[in-house]
Amino acid sequence: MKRFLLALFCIFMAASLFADPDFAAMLRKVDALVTFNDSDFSAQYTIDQIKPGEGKDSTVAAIFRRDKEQKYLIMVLQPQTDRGKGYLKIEDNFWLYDPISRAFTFTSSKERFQNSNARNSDFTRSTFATDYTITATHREQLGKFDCWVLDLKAVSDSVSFAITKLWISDDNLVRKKEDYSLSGQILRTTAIPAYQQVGGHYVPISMIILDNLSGRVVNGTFVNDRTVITITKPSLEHLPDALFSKAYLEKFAR
Amino acid sequence: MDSTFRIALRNLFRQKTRYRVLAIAIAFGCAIITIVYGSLGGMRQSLEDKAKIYYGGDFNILGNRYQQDYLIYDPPELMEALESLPGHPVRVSPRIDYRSNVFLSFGGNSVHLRMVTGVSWEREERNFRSFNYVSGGPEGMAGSNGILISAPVAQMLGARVGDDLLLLIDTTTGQRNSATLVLRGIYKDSSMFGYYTSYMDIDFLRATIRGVPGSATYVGGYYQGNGRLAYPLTRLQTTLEKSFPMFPLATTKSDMFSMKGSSSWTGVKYSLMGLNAHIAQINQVVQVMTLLLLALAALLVATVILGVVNTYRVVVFERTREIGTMRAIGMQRPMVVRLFLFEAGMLAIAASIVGVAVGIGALILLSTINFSWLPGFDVFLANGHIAWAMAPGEILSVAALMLIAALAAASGPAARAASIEPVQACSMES
Repeated sequence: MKRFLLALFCIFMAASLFADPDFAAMLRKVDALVTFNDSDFSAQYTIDQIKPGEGKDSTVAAIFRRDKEQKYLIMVLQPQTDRGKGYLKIEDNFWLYDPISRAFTFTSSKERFQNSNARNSDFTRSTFATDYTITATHREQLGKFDCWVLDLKAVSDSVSFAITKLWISDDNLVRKKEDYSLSGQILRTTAIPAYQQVGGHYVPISMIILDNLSGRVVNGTFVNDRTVITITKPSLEHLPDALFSKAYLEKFAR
Repeated sequence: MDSTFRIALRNLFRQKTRYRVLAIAIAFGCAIITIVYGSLGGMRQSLEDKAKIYYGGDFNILGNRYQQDYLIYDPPELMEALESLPGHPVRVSPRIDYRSNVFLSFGGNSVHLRMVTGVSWEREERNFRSFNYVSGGPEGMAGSNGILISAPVAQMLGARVGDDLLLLIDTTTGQRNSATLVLRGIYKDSSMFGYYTSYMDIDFLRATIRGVPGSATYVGGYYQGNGRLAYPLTRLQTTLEKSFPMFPLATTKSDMFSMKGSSSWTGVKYSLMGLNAHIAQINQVVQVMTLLLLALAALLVATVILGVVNTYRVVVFERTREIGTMRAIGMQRPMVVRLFLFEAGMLAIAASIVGVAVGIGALILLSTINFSWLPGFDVFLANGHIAWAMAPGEILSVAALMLIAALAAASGPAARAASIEPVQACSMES
């Protein structure tokens, strides 16, 4: 009997070792690791838009997030010509502030940020688990990372991309992401080689977003346009409530 | 009458040295008016032709939804109503104009298009044959994944006819979508109407943007024959109001926007807009140009009148004895007036014919020059050239204007000549 129970235990252990994980739970973990529901978050983002053969355009922005209330504020610090421009999101409302016309216009989280390959949604909390459903999974080696590859399909039309593919390492961090159009055309590829730990959460050190459709042939090789986002000065310090307001953007621009 | 005419003709030839300068002045004035009038007419025509294709015809009917994008759910219902109106010779067609983040991508190059238009090619193909194609054309566009783009866009993409282009576009719900399109035609148009606009099949576009099945943004109508006169927009508006919920007829786009902004409604409310309402701002530029032309014409006519008055003053003075002799042998005063008016009239007619001919010659020469290098001017050009347009009636008007000016100017001196007493005239020393 003891032998039988031992054999049963071994079979169970072996089965659980080779069984697929709960991917929905994995997505929730992915979201939880990069979302700051228990504190505010702020950091400085440097966004370099690189066009092969044309040099790069740099934008430095301060980003303030209060994920639990679905609020975030982006203030452009550089270049000087765009200084004072701001993005404010409060729940489903999203405004762009132009300091020259001193006017707010409605924008969308699907829009490109400062004409780069980044979307406004790239700067906010992660919501893969609620926005997408998993359509396929497989295991893949991505450089030094053992990853699960999850094919996702949007469950609502509120997201920037209808189809997304995630490479998730065993520590539940997204290492690579491919975004597709509704008809399945690859549009951009994002690589996140390293993260920095902030409190119990993670923030990328840098992200490289490749535009799969735009680029130029340089020295006989096709080089894609790309955006490199570097995140510095991450902080979990409490932010004043007044920060997430139109008035604050107007005041900052002055 | 006959003898007066002969004497006038003889006098013209005898005094040809004096009249030569006057004839040149009249001919010059006529030529300038012809050139300006002809080229302005052509420019206006080119503008209208381009605008017609861009806006879908001589008029269009937009489907307005309260605080939402334009949409007509059932275009065939509206089209049938328009085509079945008695005495309304019109060809109608549905269209979709779409502007939401439209990009064309090819070989690593990407171009942001201002708009992509979905066209019913079965109904509109022949209109698109009038484009100036660098290569390809609209043939085979119906029901296909073909696209027509402007030459500047093709150049930016580095694409040629037959290449597969990638269309990137937001769906009506805001999701990014893509479609592979075959480049079927590259047209030469760098005007505001053509530069960043592309044309594709309406059904293919609707499917790509996940639009409401069978829907359109608007229905456009091209008048056939004398349709514009037979069924003016005001009449069409009144007729449509009986069957469809309509906004009042707008004379400009801003009129329509203010009407839309001042009320709320449910469902679809239609707005009829004529081509002139769409191009009201450009028409203002044309109107200013027309006013300048009128000022120029007035200046030239005034110069001719002054020239004729001065010439005839001298002529009357020089021919006082001759007038006296004619009056002495029985020529009546009205006959003297007629004599001078005949002279002026014949001079004006001959000079006008020469002037108009020179003007038309200059217009033909002008139409061979490519003006597409002029920034912002392409909207007034046909294939890069000024396509002058002048109806025979307009040509006659220019000549008539000069004739009337010459007769009016000569009438004063002629009356003075007729008033000279024979005895007084014959005693004058010349």
